[in-house]
Amino acid sequence: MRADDRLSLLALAEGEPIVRGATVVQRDQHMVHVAMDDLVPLPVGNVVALLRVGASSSEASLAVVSESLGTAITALRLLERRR
Amino acid sequence: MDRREIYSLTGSIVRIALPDSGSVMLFSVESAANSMAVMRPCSVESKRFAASLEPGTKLHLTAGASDGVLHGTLTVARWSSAQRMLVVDNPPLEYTQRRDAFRVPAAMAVDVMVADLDSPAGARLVRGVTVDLSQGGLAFTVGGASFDMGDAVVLLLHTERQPVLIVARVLGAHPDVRSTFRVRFEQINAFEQTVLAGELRRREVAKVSTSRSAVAAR
Repeated sequence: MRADDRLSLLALAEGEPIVRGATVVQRDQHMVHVAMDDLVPLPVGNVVALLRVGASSSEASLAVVSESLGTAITALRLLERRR
Repeated sequence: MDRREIYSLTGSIVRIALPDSGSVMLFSVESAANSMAVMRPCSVESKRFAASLEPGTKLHLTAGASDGVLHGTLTVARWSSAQRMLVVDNPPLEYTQRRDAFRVPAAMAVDVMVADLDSPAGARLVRGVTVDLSQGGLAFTVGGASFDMGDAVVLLLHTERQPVLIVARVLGAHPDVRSTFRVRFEQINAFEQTVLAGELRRREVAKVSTSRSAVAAR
Protein backbone atom coordinates (compact mmCIF):
# COMPACT_ATOMS: atom_id res chain seq x y z
CA MET A 1 0.00 0.00 0.00
CA ARG A 2 1.50 3.27 -1.11
CA ALA A 3 0.41 6.89 -1.31
CA ASP A 4 -2.48 7.40 -3.74
CA ASP A 5 -3.42 3.70 -3.72
CA ARG A 6 -7.16 3.09 -3.66
CA LEU A 7 -8.34 0.84 -0.85
CA SER A 8 -11.54 -0.74 0.35
CA LEU A 9 -11.99 -0.57 4.08
CA LEU A 10 -14.15 -2.94 6.14
CA ALA A 11 -15.12 -1.77 9.59
CA LEU A 12 -17.76 -2.54 12.16
CA ALA A 13 -20.03 0.37 12.98
CA GLU A 14 -22.25 -0.41 15.95
CA GLY A 15 -21.81 -4.09 15.25
CA GLU A 16 -22.75 -3.84 11.58
CA PRO A 17 -20.16 -4.30 8.84
CA ILE A 18 -19.60 -1.39 6.48
CA VAL A 19 -17.41 -1.21 3.40
CA ARG A 20 -16.05 2.14 2.28
CA GLY A 21 -13.57 3.41 -0.27
CA ALA A 22 -10.47 5.25 0.83
CA THR A 23 -7.24 6.63 -0.59
CA VAL A 24 -3.83 6.24 0.98
CA VAL A 25 -2.48 9.69 1.87
CA GLN A 26 0.72 8.66 3.59
CA ARG A 27 2.36 5.39 4.48
CA ASP A 28 5.29 4.47 6.65
CA GLN A 29 6.43 1.16 8.13
CA HIS A 30 3.72 0.77 10.77
CA MET A 31 1.17 3.48 9.97
CA VAL A 32 -1.05 4.34 7.08
CA HIS A 33 -3.05 7.55 6.79
CA VAL A 34 -6.16 7.26 4.66
CA ALA A 35 -8.68 9.74 3.35
CA MET A 36 -12.13 8.17 3.53
CA ASP A 37 -14.56 8.69 0.63
CA ASP A 38 -17.36 9.17 3.16
CA LEU A 39 -17.18 10.47 6.65
CA VAL A 40 -17.51 7.40 8.83
CA PRO A 41 -16.97 7.63 12.57
CA LEU A 42 -14.26 5.09 13.33
CA PRO A 43 -13.66 4.92 17.06
CA VAL A 44 -10.03 4.93 18.16
CA GLY A 45 -8.96 1.39 19.03
CA ASN A 46 -11.34 -0.31 16.58
CA VAL A 47 -9.90 -2.90 14.21
CA VAL A 48 -10.51 -2.41 10.48
CA ALA A 49 -9.49 -4.41 7.42
CA LEU A 50 -7.92 -2.86 4.35
CA LEU A 51 -8.03 -4.50 0.93
CA ARG A 52 -6.19 -3.32 -2.15
CA VAL A 53 -6.94 -5.24 -5.31
CA GLY A 54 -4.35 -4.81 -8.02
CA ALA A 55 -4.32 -6.04 -11.60
CA SER A 56 -2.34 -9.15 -10.75
CA SER A 57 -2.44 -9.44 -6.97
CA SER A 58 -4.37 -8.43 -3.92
CA GLU A 59 -3.06 -7.12 -0.64
CA ALA A 60 -4.88 -7.02 2.66
CA SER A 61 -4.06 -5.97 6.17
CA LEU A 62 -5.70 -5.43 9.53
CA ALA A 63 -5.15 -2.09 11.24
CA VAL A 64 -6.17 -0.38 14.43
CA VAL A 65 -7.68 3.09 14.30
CA SER A 66 -5.03 5.26 15.89
CA GLU A 67 -6.50 8.74 15.57
CA SER A 68 -8.61 10.95 13.35
CA LEU A 69 -6.77 13.91 11.90
CA GLY A 70 -9.19 16.66 10.97
CA THR A 71 -12.45 15.48 9.48
CA ALA A 72 -11.46 13.07 6.76
CA ILE A 73 -8.01 11.63 7.43
CA THR A 74 -7.76 8.60 9.64
CA ALA A 75 -4.49 7.25 10.98
CA LEU A 76 -4.30 3.46 11.12
CA ARG A 77 -1.65 1.38 12.85
CA LEU A 78 -0.99 -1.78 10.85
CA LEU A 79 -1.13 -5.02 12.81
CA GLU A 80 1.76 -7.45 12.67
CA ARG A 81 1.42 -10.52 10.57
CA ARG A 82 1.64 -14.08 11.89
CA ARG A 83 4.93 -15.79 11.25
CA MET B 1 9.33 -37.86 13.44
CA ASP B 2 6.54 -39.51 15.42
CA ARG B 3 6.13 -43.25 14.82
CA ARG B 4 3.01 -45.37 15.11
CA GLU B 5 2.13 -49.02 14.62
CA ILE B 6 0.00 -50.56 11.88
CA TYR B 7 -1.95 -52.10 14.76
CA SER B 8 -3.44 -48.65 15.44
CA LEU B 9 -5.12 -48.86 12.02
CA THR B 10 -6.93 -52.16 12.65
CA GLY B 11 -10.35 -51.91 11.06
CA SER B 12 -9.39 -48.81 9.07
CA ILE B 13 -9.15 -48.35 5.32
CA VAL B 14 -5.64 -47.68 4.06
CA ARG B 15 -4.26 -46.76 0.64
CA ILE B 16 -1.72 -49.09 -0.91
CA ALA B 17 0.30 -48.36 -4.03
CA LEU B 18 3.39 -49.57 -5.77
CA PRO B 19 6.20 -47.01 -5.49
CA ASP B 20 6.11 -44.59 -8.42
CA SER B 21 2.67 -45.82 -9.43
CA GLY B 22 -0.30 -43.49 -9.78
CA SER B 23 -2.96 -46.10 -9.02
CA VAL B 24 -3.95 -46.49 -5.41
CA MET B 25 -5.77 -49.55 -4.03
CA LEU B 26 -7.87 -49.62 -0.90
CA PHE B 27 -7.39 -52.27 1.77
CA SER B 28 -8.68 -52.67 5.30
CA VAL B 29 -6.27 -53.60 8.06
CA GLU B 30 -7.37 -56.96 9.45
CA SER B 31 -4.69 -57.40 12.10
CA ALA B 32 -1.08 -56.60 12.90
CA ALA B 33 1.15 -58.32 15.43
CA ASN B 34 4.83 -59.17 15.79
CA SER B 35 6.37 -59.23 12.32
CA MET B 36 3.17 -59.69 10.32
CA ALA B 37 0.22 -57.57 9.25
CA VAL B 38 -2.81 -58.75 7.32
CA MET B 39 -4.74 -56.62 4.84
CA ARG B 40 -8.04 -57.39 3.16
CA PRO B 41 -8.78 -55.93 -0.29
CA CYS B 42 -11.78 -53.60 -0.41
CA SER B 43 -12.69 -54.16 -4.06
CA VAL B 44 -12.35 -56.59 -6.93
CA GLU B 45 -9.66 -54.30 -8.34
CA SER B 46 -7.73 -54.35 -5.05
CA LYS B 47 -8.04 -58.14 -4.91
CA ARG B 48 -6.70 -58.48 -8.45
CA PHE B 49 -3.83 -56.15 -7.54
CA ALA B 50 -3.01 -58.15 -4.39
CA ALA B 51 -3.09 -61.45 -6.29
CA SER B 52 -0.54 -60.12 -8.77
CA LEU B 53 2.05 -59.20 -6.12
CA GLU B 54 5.19 -61.28 -5.75
CA PRO B 55 6.66 -61.95 -2.30
CA GLY B 56 9.25 -59.27 -1.53
CA THR B 57 7.43 -56.54 -3.49
CA LYS B 58 7.63 -53.14 -1.82
CA LEU B 59 4.39 -51.23 -1.30
CA HIS B 60 3.70 -47.75 -0.11
CA LEU B 61 0.99 -47.33 2.54
CA THR B 62 -0.76 -44.10 3.51
CA ALA B 63 -3.63 -43.64 5.91
CA GLY B 64 -5.41 -40.54 7.09
CA ALA B 65 -5.59 -39.78 10.80
CA SER B 66 -7.75 -37.04 12.31
CA ASP B 67 -4.79 -34.70 12.56
CA GLY B 68 -2.29 -35.98 10.04
CA VAL B 69 -1.11 -38.75 7.77
CA LEU B 70 0.52 -42.11 8.50
CA HIS B 71 2.80 -43.56 5.88
CA GLY B 72 5.30 -46.34 5.48
CA THR B 73 6.83 -48.95 3.20
CA LEU B 74 5.56 -52.52 3.41
CA THR B 75 7.05 -55.73 2.04
CA VAL B 76 4.73 -58.40 0.66
CA ALA B 77 5.04 -61.80 2.37
CA ARG B 78 2.30 -63.61 0.41
CA TRP B 79 -1.20 -63.43 -0.99
CA SER B 80 -3.66 -65.96 0.34
CA SER B 81 -6.35 -66.42 -2.30
CA ALA B 82 -8.35 -68.83 -0.13
CA GLN B 83 -8.64 -66.30 2.67
CA ARG B 84 -8.56 -63.18 0.43
CA MET B 85 -5.77 -61.76 2.58
CA LEU B 86 -2.56 -59.99 1.77
CA VAL B 87 0.14 -60.75 4.31
CA VAL B 88 2.84 -58.13 4.69
CA ASP B 89 5.54 -57.25 7.23
CA ASN B 90 4.75 -54.96 10.17
CA PRO B 91 7.08 -51.97 10.09
CA PRO B 92 6.54 -48.84 12.21
CA LEU B 93 4.73 -46.08 10.31
CA GLU B 94 5.77 -42.46 10.23
CA TYR B 95 3.28 -39.87 11.26
CA THR B 96 3.21 -36.43 9.68
CA GLN B 97 1.10 -33.67 11.12
CA ARG B 98 -0.73 -31.82 8.41
CA ARG B 99 -1.53 -28.64 10.26
CA ASP B 100 -0.55 -26.73 13.37
CA ALA B 101 -4.06 -26.46 14.75
CA PHE B 102 -6.87 -28.96 15.19
CA ARG B 103 -9.73 -28.53 12.72
CA VAL B 104 -13.39 -28.61 13.75
CA PRO B 105 -16.34 -29.02 11.36
CA ALA B 106 -18.37 -25.81 11.70
CA ALA B 107 -21.11 -24.16 9.63
CA MET B 108 -20.83 -20.49 10.60
CA ALA B 109 -21.75 -17.39 8.63
CA VAL B 110 -18.76 -15.64 7.16
CA ASP B 111 -18.70 -12.45 5.09
CA VAL B 112 -16.03 -12.39 2.43
CA MET B 113 -14.84 -9.05 1.05
CA VAL B 114 -14.60 -9.29 -2.73
CA ALA B 115 -13.46 -6.70 -5.25
CA ASP B 116 -16.33 -4.97 -7.05
CA LEU B 117 -15.37 -2.26 -9.52
CA ASP B 118 -19.02 -1.20 -9.89
CA SER B 119 -19.22 -0.38 -6.21
CA PRO B 120 -18.07 3.08 -5.08
CA ALA B 121 -16.16 1.39 -2.27
CA GLY B 122 -14.38 -0.90 -4.75
CA ALA B 123 -15.50 -3.98 -2.84
CA ARG B 124 -18.55 -5.63 -1.32
CA LEU B 125 -19.32 -8.35 1.15
CA VAL B 126 -20.54 -11.74 0.01
CA ARG B 127 -22.12 -14.06 2.55
CA GLY B 128 -20.65 -17.52 2.76
CA VAL B 129 -20.62 -20.35 5.26
CA THR B 130 -17.69 -22.15 6.84
CA VAL B 131 -17.10 -25.86 6.33
CA ASP B 132 -14.47 -26.27 9.02
CA LEU B 133 -12.42 -24.09 11.26
CA SER B 134 -9.21 -24.13 13.27
CA GLN B 135 -7.01 -21.63 15.07
CA GLY B 136 -4.93 -21.33 11.92
CA GLY B 137 -7.44 -21.30 9.09
CA LEU B 138 -10.79 -22.35 7.73
CA ALA B 139 -12.63 -23.53 4.65
CA PHE B 140 -15.66 -21.63 3.41
CA THR B 141 -18.26 -22.08 0.70
CA VAL B 142 -19.38 -19.00 -1.18
CA GLY B 143 -21.42 -18.47 -4.34
CA GLY B 144 -20.71 -15.80 -6.91
CA ALA B 145 -17.04 -15.39 -6.11
CA SER B 146 -13.88 -17.24 -6.95
CA PHE B 147 -10.38 -17.07 -5.56
CA ASP B 148 -6.99 -18.18 -6.77
CA MET B 149 -4.25 -19.72 -4.70
CA GLY B 150 -2.25 -16.96 -3.02
CA ASP B 151 -5.03 -14.36 -3.07
CA ALA B 152 -5.33 -12.22 0.04
CA VAL B 153 -8.86 -12.22 1.45
CA VAL B 154 -10.63 -10.35 4.20
CA LEU B 155 -13.14 -12.35 6.22
CA LEU B 156 -15.67 -11.35 8.82
CA LEU B 157 -16.44 -14.49 10.78
CA HIS B 158 -19.67 -14.39 12.76
CA THR B 159 -18.92 -16.26 15.97
CA GLU B 160 -21.56 -16.67 18.64
CA ARG B 161 -19.91 -13.98 20.74
CA GLN B 162 -18.98 -11.33 18.15
CA PRO B 163 -17.83 -10.87 14.56
CA VAL B 164 -14.12 -11.51 14.08
CA LEU B 165 -12.09 -9.74 11.40
CA ILE B 166 -9.46 -11.90 9.72
CA VAL B 167 -6.96 -11.39 6.91
CA ALA B 168 -6.17 -14.71 5.27
CA ARG B 169 -4.37 -16.21 2.30
CA VAL B 170 -6.10 -18.61 -0.11
CA LEU B 171 -4.48 -22.06 -0.12
CA GLY B 172 -6.68 -23.34 -2.93
CA ALA B 173 -10.05 -24.77 -3.78
CA HIS B 174 -11.35 -27.48 -1.48
CA PRO B 175 -10.81 -30.86 -3.19
CA ASP B 176 -14.14 -32.34 -2.12
CA VAL B 177 -16.63 -29.48 -1.79
CA ARG B 178 -17.78 -27.28 -4.67
CA SER B 179 -17.30 -23.47 -4.52
CA THR B 180 -15.29 -23.97 -1.38
CA PHE B 181 -11.90 -22.47 -0.60
CA ARG B 182 -9.33 -23.16 2.08
CA VAL B 183 -7.51 -20.26 3.67
CA ARG B 184 -4.72 -19.81 6.20
CA PHE B 185 -5.02 -16.94 8.68
CA GLU B 186 -2.38 -14.25 8.36
CA GLN B 187 -3.74 -11.60 10.68
CA ILE B 188 -6.19 -11.66 13.52
CA ASN B 189 -6.08 -9.36 16.48
CA ALA B 190 -5.03 -10.86 19.83
CA PHE B 191 -8.39 -10.41 21.55
CA GLU B 192 -10.33 -11.83 18.62
CA GLN B 193 -7.94 -14.80 18.59
CA THR B 194 -9.19 -15.62 22.09
CA VAL B 195 -12.80 -15.23 20.87
CA LEU B 196 -12.02 -17.71 18.10
CA ALA B 197 -10.36 -20.10 20.56
CA GLY B 198 -13.47 -19.94 22.75
CA GLU B 199 -15.70 -20.71 19.78
CA LEU B 200 -13.55 -23.70 18.83
CA ARG B 201 -13.58 -24.98 22.41
CA ARG B 202 -17.37 -24.61 22.60
CA ARG B 203 -17.83 -26.58 19.39
CA GLU B 204 -15.39 -29.28 20.48
CA VAL B 205 -17.22 -29.71 23.79
CA ALA B 206 -20.57 -29.83 21.97
CA LYS B 207 -19.21 -32.50 19.63
CA VAL B 208 -17.96 -34.64 22.52
CA SER B 209 -21.28 -34.21 24.39
CA THR B 210 -23.22 -35.24 21.28
CA SER B 211 -21.02 -38.31 20.83
CA ARG B 212 -21.53 -39.31 24.46
CA SER B 213 -25.31 -38.81 24.15
CA ALA B 214 -25.36 -40.98 21.04
CA VAL B 215 -23.41 -43.73 22.82
CA ALA B 216 -25.66 -43.50 25.89
CA ALA B 217 -28.77 -43.75 23.70
CA ARG B 218 -27.65 -47.08 22.19
